[in-house]
Amino acid sequence: MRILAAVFSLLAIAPPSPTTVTLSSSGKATMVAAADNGAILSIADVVAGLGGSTQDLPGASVAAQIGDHRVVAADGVATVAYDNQVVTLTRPVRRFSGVLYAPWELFEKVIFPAAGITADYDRAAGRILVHPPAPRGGITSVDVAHVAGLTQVVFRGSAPIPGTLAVSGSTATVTFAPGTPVPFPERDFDDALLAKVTFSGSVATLSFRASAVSANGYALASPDRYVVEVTAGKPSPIAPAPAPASSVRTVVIDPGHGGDETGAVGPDGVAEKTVTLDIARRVAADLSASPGVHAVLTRNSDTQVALDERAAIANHEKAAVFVSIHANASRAAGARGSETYYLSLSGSDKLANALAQTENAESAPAGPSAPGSSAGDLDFILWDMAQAAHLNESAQLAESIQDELNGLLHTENRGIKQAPFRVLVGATMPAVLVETAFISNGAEEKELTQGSFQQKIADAIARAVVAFLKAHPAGPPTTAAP
Amino acid sequence: MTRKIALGLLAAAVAIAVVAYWAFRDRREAAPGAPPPPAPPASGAAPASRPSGASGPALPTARVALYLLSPADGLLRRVECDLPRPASDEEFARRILEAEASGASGPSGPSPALASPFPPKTTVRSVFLAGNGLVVADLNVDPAWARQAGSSDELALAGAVVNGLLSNIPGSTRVQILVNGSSVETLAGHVDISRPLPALPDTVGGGSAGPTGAAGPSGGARG
Repeated sequence: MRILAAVFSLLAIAPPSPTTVTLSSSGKATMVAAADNGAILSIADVVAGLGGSTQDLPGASVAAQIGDHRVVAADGVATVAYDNQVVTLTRPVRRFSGVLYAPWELFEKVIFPAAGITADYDRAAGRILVHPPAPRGGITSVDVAHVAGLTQVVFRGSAPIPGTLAVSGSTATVTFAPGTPVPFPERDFDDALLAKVTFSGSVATLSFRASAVSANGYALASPDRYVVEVTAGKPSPIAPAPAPASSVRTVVIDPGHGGDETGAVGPDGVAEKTVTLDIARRVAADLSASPGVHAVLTRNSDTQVALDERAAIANHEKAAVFVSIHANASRAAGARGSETYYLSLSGSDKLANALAQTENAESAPAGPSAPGSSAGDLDFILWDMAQAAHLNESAQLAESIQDELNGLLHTENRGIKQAPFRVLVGATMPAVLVETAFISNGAEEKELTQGSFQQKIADAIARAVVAFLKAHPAGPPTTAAP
Repeated sequence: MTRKIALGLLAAAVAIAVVAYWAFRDRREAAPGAPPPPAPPASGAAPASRPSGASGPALPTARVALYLLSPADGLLRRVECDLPRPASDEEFARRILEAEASGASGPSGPSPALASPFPPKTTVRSVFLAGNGLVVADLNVDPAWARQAGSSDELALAGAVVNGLLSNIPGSTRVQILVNGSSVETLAGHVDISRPLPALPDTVGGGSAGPTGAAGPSGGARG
């Protein structure tokens, strides 16, 4: 009997079987399997509770169909596919006993928006309460995009949603019409400026990370939305150069890498970050000696600058041209020579491609899109792919620089190419990335350290930029609709 | 006495069951918050690491296009070879990437003059088809490589993954590259992989054609 008692006491401390929580939707309750003390929930159960369906796929993954939306998640992966997008979670989807479980984050970010609803999860009570879709006239979602130091907060509505913006220190409020349904009570945002949006009645409070901001709000139609544009009140981390005369055009030169990011290192130990800074300084000096040209460096010392910040500096300076300077590296022993890149668009962004094709269309109106215009659909693609509108000019600039490099250097011409370089994505002007030579090639590494070789490269780049500026006179700035 | 023995046996059986349960649970659930384990191979398909000819039914072969590194210039070359064709597209996709990672040095390897575009210690964690033409390729990437890789090396890896999958997986149009299960900004500081990528034809040199159906120029540089 003592043995049995010991066994039963052992059983008493055994973990409980997976728990369940209740999902209440439209007066109907569904049981949802949960694990890890309710931290993760069965994807299939939640989807079924919302009227959707799931299908197991090979590779321990599952496809959920919710209305017209398809979501695919896989065991051990913290990223899910949501229609044509990829959404990153802070922890991976897990599979226990053949069932895929996901953190609440997946449902909040993906599953519920796909179903057009919102929900609250009372984990302690084991209850998920689904809120019905917002009635027409309400705010359906809040989207946030950050480009070039500017944060856009877009309140999307199922009908016109006029609002009134007021800014005070580190917060701003948008007052919508009384009784306007709102999508959630409070939500945190992973944005450089915006920390949180809180609804109290029909008033939205935006809490910012900066102590002071400036903001501008306006309503747009097709689709209906209210947009708040926010910039930090403090100056850019890179102090802007003295304002050049209006006839002077700014060129931003970006020495690749810096600080802890050494970039590639040659066989004799030469670091890419060192030679790119040397060459960039020479280019800047050449350009500054040219009448009507003002050069700005994204870094002028051995410091680390984030990729997006480099393009942001060019945008802040309202640069006419952005040139990022690098030294290449390859495991291929025979790789040598120079090449110049401009951005390749994501093939999925057909709308962005369409936009690129309308580049330089003088008749295209700047600013908010006209009601009914398909340009309204381009909103976030435009902000995400700021470079899209300048691809043709970037290609011309790349060709001009490569031609000059070919003429001045005796290195192998690897031509102009397109690639999805991150540093070019956010630039709102013609932008290229120059791979001057291969630092991984012993002979070219030596040349890259020689002042005469660096000056030849600098002269070639500067000459091409000046020629490009002459061929493309300054025009009125254009902006994309939010 | 017999009753005592029976009870003892029952107790022992229950204890074994409990211990087995704990062991199983620890193995499967040790996890929340910990690094995820490698994804298991696709169900119903042979493990990708199993050499062809190993036990199990022989798979049919398929002619595939692989993208391998040319030591002459650091660009990719499109080559064709025969690979076992599992029924699962996911498993097939994984085998394509693993063939590129190995430099296709197996029995059907196309050319000893070409090398793997995958840096050392870079492996394929999982590949899955997300629908709508999107293929997701999850890689393990050596952080030491990522800190000092050049654009050419980085483009070669991205190009091999993207072009290799789009050339061979029916209906695929874009590839999302993940690193250790997560979406990241770049592989090694240059190439934006935060979004799904279309074919990368400019990573292919020597006049080779880019992936079938790829938009834009088919390999090689202009200028």
